[in-house]
Amino acid sequence: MDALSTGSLLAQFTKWERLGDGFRRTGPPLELVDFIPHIVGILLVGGIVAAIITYRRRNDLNRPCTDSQKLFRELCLAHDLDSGTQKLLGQLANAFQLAQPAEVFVSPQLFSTERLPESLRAEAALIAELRKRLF
Amino acid sequence: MKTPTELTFEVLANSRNESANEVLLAAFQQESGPLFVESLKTILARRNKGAHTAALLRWHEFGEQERSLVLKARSRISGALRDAVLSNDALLFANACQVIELLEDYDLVPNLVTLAEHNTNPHANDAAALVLRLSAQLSTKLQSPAMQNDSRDAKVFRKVVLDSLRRSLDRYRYHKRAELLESFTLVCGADDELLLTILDDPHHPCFKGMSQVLASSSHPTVLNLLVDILHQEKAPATVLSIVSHRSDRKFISRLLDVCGRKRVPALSRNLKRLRTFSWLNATTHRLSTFSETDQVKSVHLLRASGVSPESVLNALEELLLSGEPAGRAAACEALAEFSGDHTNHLILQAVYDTAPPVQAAATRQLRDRHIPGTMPLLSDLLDCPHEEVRAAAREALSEFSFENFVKNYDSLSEEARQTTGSFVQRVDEEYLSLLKAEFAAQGVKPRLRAIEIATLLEVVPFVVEELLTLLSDQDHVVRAAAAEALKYWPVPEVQAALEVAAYDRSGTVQNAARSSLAVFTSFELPTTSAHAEVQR
Repeated sequence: MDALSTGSLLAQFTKWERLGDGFRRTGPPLELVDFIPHIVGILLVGGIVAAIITYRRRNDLNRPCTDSQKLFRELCLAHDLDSGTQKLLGQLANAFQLAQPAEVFVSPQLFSTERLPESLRAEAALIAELRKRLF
Repeated sequence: MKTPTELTFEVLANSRNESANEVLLAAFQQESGPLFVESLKTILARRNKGAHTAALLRWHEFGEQERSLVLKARSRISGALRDAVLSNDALLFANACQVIELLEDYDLVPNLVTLAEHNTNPHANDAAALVLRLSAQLSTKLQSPAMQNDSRDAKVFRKVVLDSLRRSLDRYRYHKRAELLESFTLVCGADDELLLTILDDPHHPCFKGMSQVLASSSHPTVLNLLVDILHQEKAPATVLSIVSHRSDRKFISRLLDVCGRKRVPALSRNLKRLRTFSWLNATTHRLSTFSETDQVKSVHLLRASGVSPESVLNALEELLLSGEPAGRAAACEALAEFSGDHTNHLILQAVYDTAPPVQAAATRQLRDRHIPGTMPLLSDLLDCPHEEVRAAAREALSEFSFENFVKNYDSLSEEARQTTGSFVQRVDEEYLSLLKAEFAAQGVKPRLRAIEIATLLEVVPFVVEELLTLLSDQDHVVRAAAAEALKYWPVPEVQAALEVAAYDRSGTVQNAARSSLAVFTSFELPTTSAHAEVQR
């Protein structure tokens, strides 16, 4: 194995003469701008990785956490609610100033038409439908 | 197919998001209804002390269904229970105490003991009371037969509880909690080293308290403990004193139960060390008011104890005069150990008791007491309608056996033979078979004597076969005596035999046979059927 690697090394002997070109006083000096493409590349890759990690964390329901929004999403997912319905539920939670948006899933009284705030009166039919679906 | 609500609570139960607890607590705020129950179920399914504490806070409002849900979550709520016990919230503490008692959560006993020791803590009294109740539950569990088969858990709990109580007793001088002492007595065994050390040392800080507990507690386990200590090789004198002085009915019954069984040597020795029983003199618990079985057992206990003979005699007299039949009989039997005019008088009284066992017990003692005039009484008792009494009379007159009669027959006068013979007939139930055996005895004399006795006792009809056999005896004197005796049974069968004997080779036999046959002629011989009837 050693013999093989030594042979391969010696076979490229002709390239050795260019090996320390940038470091010689005689060669052109290295400038910071020379590294910019590399840094940008690294940052780009890092950003993508961070975005992937954040996305995965956000959607990893098996990860221990204390996240009210995530719990809301988890429940919406379990009930197979589309984004419009999720938005409507979120508005309902906001309207009643619930500490936890997920509380709407255990509070059927919030869906009562009489108790609906003015801003959601227009959605009363949808909310009534949603109540039937969730309780 | 799950309902939407079930799906919601399933997600909340399994979610690893801690926000689920707050959502559940929001649902749990409702007064009642399915959401309330589901939220409680889910809270209990999750491991969150805060949520469990919230559930414990509402324990007093719960119905049966909710309470059973809480009790089923035993392993998950133990942390919240521990916190609740140590909390200053009176309601939470009270609720937690109830749950702990229902769950029989012995793991919390060390915490409760520590709390009970702090006399300044507002919950100290309740904690001490709870420790006592839990110890009582544990002791019941340890003694139940079902647990004895699978007592691994109970033994582990016992160790936990006992260790914490032992540590607490080391600090007894500071807290003086009698409940903790009593709890200790409920779970420690009779061979517990600390218990015996305390009871052996009057200067021990726990000595007084422990003695008071043992002297006053009516808990079955404490009663058992006292009795179990009596089974120990070296029962402390304190315990003997307590046993002597306790006069409560429960304890007396427990003590009597032990004495009713087979006693080990250590128990017998310890019972002998008991010099008195205060209940013997108590006006509230007279022996005569005990149950029939307890009266019998009390007689056994008194006989096994070291109580003075005077006290025992007084107790036996009380029982004999006003006890239940079995108690009177036992007392009467126990009087055998006592002599003197007073006892003789009691025995004579007992002979006329209404209960045959008492009569029998008294009858058996009549002869040994040498009370004047007892022979006619015993003779009368031989004809008593109760077999038990007759047997006792026969036992008392056992010297009037057929064997003795035969042995002394030759030395008796004719009159004495007559009197004693008839007495032997009444006393010795085996006399006839023994007499029959005598006919086959070796030697001429015994056979002749047997023939004479048969005639004397007028039992010839019952030994005809043996007499007929003797007509062929080698000795002519025996043959002649048999021929002579057979005149008392004039039946055709005997007549035929005598007619043969009339031609015996011995003149004496011939004469005897002819003499008997001459007697026969004065009778009208019974027919075969009449003869069979007579024999039957």
